[in-house]
Amino acid sequence: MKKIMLTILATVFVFTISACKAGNGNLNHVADTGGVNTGQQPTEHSASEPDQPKGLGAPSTTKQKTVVFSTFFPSDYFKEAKKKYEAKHPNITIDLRSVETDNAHLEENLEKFAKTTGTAMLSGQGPDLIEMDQLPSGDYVKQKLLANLGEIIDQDPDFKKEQYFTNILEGIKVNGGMYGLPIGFFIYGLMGNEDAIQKSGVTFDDSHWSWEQFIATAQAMTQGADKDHQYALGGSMPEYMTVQFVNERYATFVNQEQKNANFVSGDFTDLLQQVKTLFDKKVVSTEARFPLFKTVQVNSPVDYIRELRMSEFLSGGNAHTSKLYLSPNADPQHPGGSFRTYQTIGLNERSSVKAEAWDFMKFLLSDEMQGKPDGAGFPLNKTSYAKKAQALVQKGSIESDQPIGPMKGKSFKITQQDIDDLDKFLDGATYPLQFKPSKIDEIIAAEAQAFFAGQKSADEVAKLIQNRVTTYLNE
Amino acid sequence: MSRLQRKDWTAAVLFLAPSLIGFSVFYLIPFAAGLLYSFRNSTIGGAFVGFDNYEAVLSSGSFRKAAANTLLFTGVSVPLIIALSLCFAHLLNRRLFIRNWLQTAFVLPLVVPVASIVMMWQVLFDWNGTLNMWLQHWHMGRIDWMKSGGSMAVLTVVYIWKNIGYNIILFLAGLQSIPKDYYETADIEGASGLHKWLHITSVYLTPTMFFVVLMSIINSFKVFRETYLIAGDYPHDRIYMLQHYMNNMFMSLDVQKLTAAAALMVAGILLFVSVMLMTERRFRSFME
Repeated sequence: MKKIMLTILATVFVFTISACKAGNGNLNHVADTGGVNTGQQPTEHSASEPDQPKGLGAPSTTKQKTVVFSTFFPSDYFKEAKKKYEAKHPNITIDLRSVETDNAHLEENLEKFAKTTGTAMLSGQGPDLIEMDQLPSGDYVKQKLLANLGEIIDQDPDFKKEQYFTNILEGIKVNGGMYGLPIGFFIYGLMGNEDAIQKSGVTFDDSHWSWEQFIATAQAMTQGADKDHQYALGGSMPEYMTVQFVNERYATFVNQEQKNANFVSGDFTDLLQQVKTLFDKKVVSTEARFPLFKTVQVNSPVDYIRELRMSEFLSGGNAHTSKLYLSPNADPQHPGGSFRTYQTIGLNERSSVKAEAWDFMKFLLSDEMQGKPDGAGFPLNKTSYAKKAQALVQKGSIESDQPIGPMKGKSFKITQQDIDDLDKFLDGATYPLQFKPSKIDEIIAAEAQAFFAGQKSADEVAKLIQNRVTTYLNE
Repeated sequence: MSRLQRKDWTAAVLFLAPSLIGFSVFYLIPFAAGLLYSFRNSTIGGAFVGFDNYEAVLSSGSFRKAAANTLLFTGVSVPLIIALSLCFAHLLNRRLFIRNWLQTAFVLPLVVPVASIVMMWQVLFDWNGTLNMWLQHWHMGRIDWMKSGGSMAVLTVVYIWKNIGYNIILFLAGLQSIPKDYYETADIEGASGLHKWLHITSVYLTPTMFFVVLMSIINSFKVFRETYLIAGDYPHDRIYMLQHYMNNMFMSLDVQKLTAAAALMVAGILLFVSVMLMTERRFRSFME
């Protein structure tokens, strides 16, 4: 009797388990047939499915399809794109999902979003399109959850690379593959006090300068300046500067292949010391009032003009003209500026509506959407950017966006020359900065603080960083 | 007869069903699925890869470090807490006028929310915390408690502080259930205190001891929660535990390594527990 009951129980178990498996199997099936050829393994593909056309093919115009698009923050840009796209393609629904959050629960909700999206992707039920900004895109790529857009682009004659900022498209490649396309990007540089630079008579070539050169030049320029003007660089924190320096010579400190870190080394303690010297010698300061250079993030042409012209309206005899320069780079052999992508969108490798999702993505990057004046960041679409810039030049001036303070109600002049200057930076931006700081960045920044506060020696800090980074690399 | 038996069985199964279903849905089936994943190279549409994932996990330096740390922590803190709680249980087993108060005080840490414990811990042991302030005041130089070899000692202190009350209560119950007659007989026969303890107390306390050891081991795994809340996902490598490894694998979506590591850990615990249960069974038959 006992045995019979046990058998029944066992069967029940087996049943539930196999039922689960059957469900999974079904899902696989859908994903396999739906996820049309991406050409990832061309040989295998041509052998097994000879009739499949190359690439994703055209989106369906008759069948009802739903593309799920998941973002963390709600975005008006995406909402409008959805409206316009659905009007054009009545059979396709864009299911736009975002997380409702407030500042108090931001971190908690971000973690939850990352967890649920990750799990959904792993179980094959993730959204078709995902905004990757808040997600660990490196892990997604490693787990092969995202489609290689580079291959899709190569096989899609409609997508003309030259219409976009090709330097950005090149810059975002990971191991030769492209796993996300940004809607926009920001660029970084140094805003220099042009009057002071001219007056000092020191010349320099910002397209090839190392940090050492920058420091020497800056010190020559700021010699004998008063307290407010003695700093060469403002707006930087020592720990983030350390992170930046490390990332510029990443290979010196981290060997991803052999999984070892090299922070307990003269290289790193020298680096820490170098950063400290910069702050001690008053070359750099966090609270410098009128530094010679200041690190800026330029968000849009309008933003560029504002950053550039604002200094001309400073009161108290501090008014000066400004000019954007390239930041020094640890590797002067490979000049170029840095950029950071914004609203990078990835395509789920297992999506059943890949063709439609890709079509919507192209729509997001089309001139129709990118030409809108209020999108954040420089549009990836070059034509749209050129149009925007031209419109600004024709308008001739830009209103200040500050509701109070000395800049209130001021209007800034804009000329073709400004746009030409800016173009050089846009086309020269080749170094991507990650949207999110990496785990290693976080560790370095956290540990370096104690060194700059004078609480720990460089060696101690280096050991701690080495200790924690090694754990991370060896997982 | 057989009909009666069948009736019994049906009733038993019916009564067991709710917990059985809950247990299988939330533990057994997920674990079985996890075990299956640990032999595949992808969560969906993957192929069977044998022990590749296990090899990857075992070749990971961080996993080995985590396993060693977990073993070390459990190996040091469990004997320590057992010894301490046994001592306190003996003390409390006497007539003390503040006995009830002391008992309450010992159990209190169990009901304090983790968040406030972590808060206190941070205030005390942080690099810029109270303890370091005192040290500096006495010119002894600061110690970065959570980021040095001493971090595990801190962890042990907190673990003992939090769990000792529970163990004391269990030991007290065990001590009080030993018949007084045995001690009286021993007294009459002139046995020494040590003799009494060795031949009466320790023998009759052994079943309780097994239970307490098991619970302490399980609780020693739970100290991860506090560690994670205070030192984050990549703490100093002295307190990097198996759960850190698994949690980080989950966050980086590496289900294969996660499930393989979990399977290894379960195998380890299972081995240990079955050895313990076997010894207990031996002990019982010896008692009878």
